[in-house]
Amino acid sequence: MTAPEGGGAREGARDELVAKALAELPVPGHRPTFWADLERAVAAEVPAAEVIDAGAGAAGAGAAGEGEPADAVHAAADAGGRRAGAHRRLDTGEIPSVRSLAHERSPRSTRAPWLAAAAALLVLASAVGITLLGGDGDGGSELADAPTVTTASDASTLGGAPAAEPTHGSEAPVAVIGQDPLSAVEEFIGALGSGDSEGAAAILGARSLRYIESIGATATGVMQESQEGFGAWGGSPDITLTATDLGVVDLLGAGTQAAFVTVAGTYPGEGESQFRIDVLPVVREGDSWRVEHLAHDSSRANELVFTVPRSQNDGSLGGMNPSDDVNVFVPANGTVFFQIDGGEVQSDATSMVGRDPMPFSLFNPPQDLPPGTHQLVVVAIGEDDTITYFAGTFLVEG
Amino acid sequence: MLLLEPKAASGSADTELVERVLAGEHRAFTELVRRHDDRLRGLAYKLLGGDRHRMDDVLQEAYLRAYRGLGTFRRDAHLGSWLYRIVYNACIDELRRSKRTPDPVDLTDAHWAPPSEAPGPERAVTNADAARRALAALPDDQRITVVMVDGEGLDNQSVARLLDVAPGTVASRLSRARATMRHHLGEDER
Repeated sequence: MTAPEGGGAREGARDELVAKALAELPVPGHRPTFWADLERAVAAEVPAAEVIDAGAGAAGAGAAGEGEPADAVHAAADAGGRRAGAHRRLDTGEIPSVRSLAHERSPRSTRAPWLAAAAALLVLASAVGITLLGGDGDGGSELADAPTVTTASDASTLGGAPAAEPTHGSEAPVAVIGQDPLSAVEEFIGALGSGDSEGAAAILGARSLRYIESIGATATGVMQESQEGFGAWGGSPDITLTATDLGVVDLLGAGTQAAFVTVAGTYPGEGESQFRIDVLPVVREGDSWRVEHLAHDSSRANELVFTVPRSQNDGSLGGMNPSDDVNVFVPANGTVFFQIDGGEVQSDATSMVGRDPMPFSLFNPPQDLPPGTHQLVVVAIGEDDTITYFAGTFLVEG
Repeated sequence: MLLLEPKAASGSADTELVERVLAGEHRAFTELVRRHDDRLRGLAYKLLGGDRHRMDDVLQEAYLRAYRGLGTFRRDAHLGSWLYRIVYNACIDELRRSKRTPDPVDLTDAHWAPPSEAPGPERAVTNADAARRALAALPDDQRITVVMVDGEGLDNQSVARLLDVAPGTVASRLSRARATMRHHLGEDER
C-alpha cells in the first residue's frame, strides 16, 4: 500500500502517516465499572413473556397493605432465574419474615397463646445474653467475634458497652432503650415475646414510627401484630443473635451510625421446625440504638427483588451457580450491604439499570461459593431515609 | 456486501459461548464480548473522536443490543463481524443524535491503557495526543471516513456504500481529513 503524498486522497490507498497515527493511538481501557455495569444490564434484560410470572419480591411475602409490587420490578426479576424452578424449595420460604408479619393486619384479638411463648422467650433471651457475654467464661462474646465490615468505622463501637445483661430477661421489664445494637434487638424481641407492645414500640426508630403513621396505624398496634412472628422464637432451642456494624451510613444526606443484627436458629413455626434467619436493622439515635425494621416508604413496595439467586413467589430464593454474583433490585438509590454465611460485609453503591431504570446492586463473593446451602443477609440503606433488608438461605448448585 | 471483517477470534469458542448465553447463562455473554472488545473499543474510540466516556456509553448500548439480538445471530456467520457492525452502527447513531464536542482527553488518567507501541515515551505521547486532538477536531463525516479507510483499511468504494455517498464525496472527505490529521501531527509542512 502506497502512502499518498501531502495527505492527498488516493483511491484505494491508505495514507501511511495517518494510518500509523491511528494504529498507534492508545485506546483507553473501560471505566472500572464497565463490565460490572454490563453484567447488571444484561441480568436486567427480561424476555417480555416472563414479566407476568416474575413473582413477588424476596421480602414481599405477606406484605399485604404495601401495594402491589411494581411492574418494573417484576419485569426485572429474571437474570437467569429460569433455572430456579429446578431447585428444591428452601426452608426460609415456609416462614413469614419479620417484616411481613409486622404488615399483616389480621383481626387476631387475643394474645393468650403467645404469653407462654413470651415467657419462654424471656428465658431464652437471658440465655442469649449470657452467650453473648461469653458464657464460656472467657469474657469474650459472639459480638466480639462478629465479622468485620469493610465500611465500618470501628467495629469496636458495637462491643464497647455491656451488650445484654442476663437480668433484663425474666426479672425486669424492658426499661432501658438499647445501649448497643445487640441489646436493642434483644429488648425488642423480649418485649414482643412478653406481649409488651408499648415496650417494643419504644425501641422503634423515628423512621419506622414515621412509616407506621403514614399507613394510618399506631406503633403499639403494629407491634401487637408483630408478636406472633418473633414470639415463636421463644421456642427455639438454639437462637443466636449477632450484631454487625455498618459504620456511618448516608440517610437523607446525614451520616448516621447503623448496624444490623441477625437472629438465627431453629424456628418453631407451624409444622416442622426448621432453621431460620432474620435480620433487623438498627440505627443510633443519640445515646441509644433503635430498631428500624419498618423504615419504609408507604408509597411503594419496600422489598428487595433478587435476580440472582432469583426471588421466589414465597419469599425464598432460588439457586445459583458457584461463580455467580448476587444481583438485587432495591427500592431506592443508596448503599447496599451484603453478607454471606456471616462473613465479611461488603457494600456496593446502587446504579440505575434496566429499560425502566431501577436501583440495582451487585455483590461478587470473594471466591466461588461451595455447593450447598448458604445464608445471605442484605441491607439496603436508601438515600431517601429508608432501609430495606433480607435474610434467608439459598442453594449453590454442585 | 461491505467488507467489515475484523481479525477473527476463535469461531468455535464463540459458538460455544453463544450457545451458553442462549441457554440462559448470561455471564457467558460478558466473556463472549470480552474476546472482541479490544478491536471494538478501538473502533468506537476513534469514531467518537477520542472521547472515552462516550466510547463506554456507546459500547454499553451496543453490547446490550448484541445481547438482545443474539438469538437472531446466524450460527454460520462470523460473530466478530456481527459485533463489529453493531458497534459501528451504534457509533454512527450516537454521532447523528449528538453533535457534542468530545470531552478533553486526560492523559494522566490512571485508567488509560498503555500504548501498544512505545517508540519513545515523549514522542509517543506527543503523537498520540496530536492524533487524538486531530480526530476530535474533525467533522463527524470526515472522521468516519478517515477512520474507516486509514484506520480500518476499507477501500473508498466500500466506505461510499457504507455511508451511502458518492465515491467522490469519500475522496473529498478523505483528503480534507488527512490534511487536518497531518496538520495536527506536524507533518503538513513536508
